[in-house]
Amino acid sequence: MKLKETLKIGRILCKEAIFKASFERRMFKGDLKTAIKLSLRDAKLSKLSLIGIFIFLSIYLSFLRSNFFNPREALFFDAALITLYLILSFFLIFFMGLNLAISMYTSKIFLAINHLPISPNDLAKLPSATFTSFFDIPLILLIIPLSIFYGYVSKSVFAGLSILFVSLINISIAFLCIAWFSKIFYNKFLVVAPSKAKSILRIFFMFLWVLGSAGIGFMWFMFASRPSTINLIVAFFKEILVSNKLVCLIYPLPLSLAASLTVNLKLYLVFTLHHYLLLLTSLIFYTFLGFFGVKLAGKILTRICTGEEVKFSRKNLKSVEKVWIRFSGGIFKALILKDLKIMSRDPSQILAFVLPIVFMLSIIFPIIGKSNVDLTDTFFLFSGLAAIFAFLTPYILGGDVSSNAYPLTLPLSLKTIIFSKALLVILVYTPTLMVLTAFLIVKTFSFPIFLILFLAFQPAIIAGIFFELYVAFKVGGETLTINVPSNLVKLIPVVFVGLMVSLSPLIFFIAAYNLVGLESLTLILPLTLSLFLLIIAFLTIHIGVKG
Amino acid sequence: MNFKLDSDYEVVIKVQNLVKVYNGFKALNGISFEVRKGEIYGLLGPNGAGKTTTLRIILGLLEPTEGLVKVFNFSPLKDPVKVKSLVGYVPEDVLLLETLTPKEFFEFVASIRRLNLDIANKRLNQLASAFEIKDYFNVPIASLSSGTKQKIAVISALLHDPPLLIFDEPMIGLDAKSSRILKDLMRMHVERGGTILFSTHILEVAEKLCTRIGIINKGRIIAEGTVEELRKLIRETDASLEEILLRVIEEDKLVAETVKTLREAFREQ
Repeated sequence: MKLKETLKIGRILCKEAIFKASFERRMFKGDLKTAIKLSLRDAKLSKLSLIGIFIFLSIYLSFLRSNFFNPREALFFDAALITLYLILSFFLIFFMGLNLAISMYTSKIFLAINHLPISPNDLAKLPSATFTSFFDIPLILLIIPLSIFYGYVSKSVFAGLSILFVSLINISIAFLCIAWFSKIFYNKFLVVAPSKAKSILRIFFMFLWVLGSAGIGFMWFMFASRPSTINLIVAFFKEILVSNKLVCLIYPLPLSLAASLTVNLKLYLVFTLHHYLLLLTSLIFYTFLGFFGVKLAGKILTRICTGEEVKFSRKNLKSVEKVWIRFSGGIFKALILKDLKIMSRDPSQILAFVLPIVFMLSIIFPIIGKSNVDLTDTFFLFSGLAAIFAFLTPYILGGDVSSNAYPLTLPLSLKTIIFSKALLVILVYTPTLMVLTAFLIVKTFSFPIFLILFLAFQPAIIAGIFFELYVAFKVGGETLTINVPSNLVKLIPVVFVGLMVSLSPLIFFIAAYNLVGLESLTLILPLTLSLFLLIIAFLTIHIGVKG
Repeated sequence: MNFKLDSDYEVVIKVQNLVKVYNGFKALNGISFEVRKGEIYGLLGPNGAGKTTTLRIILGLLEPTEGLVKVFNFSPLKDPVKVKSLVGYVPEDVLLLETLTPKEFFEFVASIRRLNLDIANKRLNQLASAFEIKDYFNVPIASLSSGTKQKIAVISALLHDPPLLIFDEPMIGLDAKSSRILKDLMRMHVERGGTILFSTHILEVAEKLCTRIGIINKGRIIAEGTVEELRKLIRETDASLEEILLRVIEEDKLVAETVKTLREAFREQ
């Protein structure tokens, strides 16, 4: 099959995956033609959003390089910056790609073409072509500007090309990880019966995500703060790289170091020959991995997409004499348990459990070293918490669309489904709130008013969750789903409303505080507003949602 | 079985002048029919005739543009929860919760329907044995064949022993044994006072099972009655249901013409 033909089929498959991820077949209200049109429009707008995110990343990194560059530590500054760039782009591609991969499997798009006379080799190229179709322009905009920027600042085409090269290797390895991660999930969780061992493995996977995500959050935070902090990181980077040669083997350091060396060719003497030998070996290994990774990932993804990975042998079946079911509990408990099971078994959904922890760590981190928490810190913690749940709510709605479509055939009112989703978000939200409260109890021991203030604004966050669900229901239709990669555009109004509602008592408080200072009225009015918002949110769902 | 509502309603489903417009296209163009208690009513028609749309509106999954629908005298639009509690539904595209196992899935359905657990377990064992799915009980649904998924959908529709069954192409994917069992289950259901509305393209099944048939084409019911009544309508006493259907939708001549053209074309190749 010619490349042009492969890319053309990839485009069709990508559109199909996005469409099917957006709408369950005929399970929505409205006609199919409009649904297809809206879905493809949403896909285009989502791509534009993705382009925006990737351009921002490129500009942000170039801005850091231009404004905070430390010429004395040029090699390590660039190495740290390129490492950050590689990790962030790896994470973004991995996160979005995993979601797309799940849409590809669940929509069964490959089953429509695998009976056609296409060779296994050509078939293996199609997942890559589908990914390319989804990421084409955003990826170009992620890779090219930074390569040009580095080529320009170092006045070397070679340096620009080396950034381009390591970016491509990074993307290939991310692609391989998407395939590998999906395969593990499908083999370990989907094909075989759930068990305690599998649950432990699942928790382990979640833990890996927490570590990875927290690490990225940490690096992002450090780079977003003062120049002195950046210098500290660069010094730390230098220290570990020079003192421990084996660090050169850890991904993506060989790539970032190699690229940094091409930008700062004159500084090569910093490292010993041993360093270079290790660096070269690992560079060859990762290049090899990146080069063959794409092919291997294509084959793995094709096997999953065509159902080969989810086949199981009858040999593994245990003969069952009598089947027995138990009640999951009340309706709300049944709905929540169902959602929790689905989320924990879906690799793209597992992040819903991880994100609150990551965000929580990132908002606690800046305050942890302080001896006492003041009003500004309380505001920072509260707005951080509000932001976590503004983003978490639509993410939780991004589960497998059929999981939300099936309950519509059962005797359940839409209100019940919405309230169960709200309870689910609150359930995931509670541990975060408890940790933050405990943190504040320790920190505000001498001045508990900040703790009271922090807790009193909580109804506004719950109101925000309700309003988000209401808007999600309005923009996403009855199935209450927002597929994150294909519907970024639908995410914007949902998150916006959630943030506005959650933060309004805080904004009100700041305005009142500036006018009259910290007096009882300044406290009572925002607290009343917080409770009022919760009542309004509850009534909005109760009155505004039919059925 | 305890169909408390049966004695109260002789007409189980009442559809009057139902219109559904999709972006200017009339999928349903004033459909009217009734399904009476104890009937197996078959909705037949070519692809895109409006069968699935009709069934979805009756269940309250779609909103009609115009017209009236009553199920046990409840409006699916105003009382969707009540209607869904009285109906066992098997959709055309089986949409199950695929990451769950059948056990977890049935537990979810039983909890939502608030079933009596002893009765539900007894019934589940009987149905699971009949459809031979017991061995798959702890395997995620995603890894099962489409036929096994269809069996799970059928069992979940029958689990609460509803007075009304709405099946959209229920035989798709089922093996011969399971098809036979399902057909017998449908007969047993009406013998015990239940009612069934179903759509199918397998006309032999419809011919053997249905008490009455409604032929739908281009969003309208164009013929209705027992198989005998339909034969009288086309004035052919020994016509098969396939012949009746093609004649009623006025495609019999077109089909003959198409086949003739194809035969000649293939002969020349």
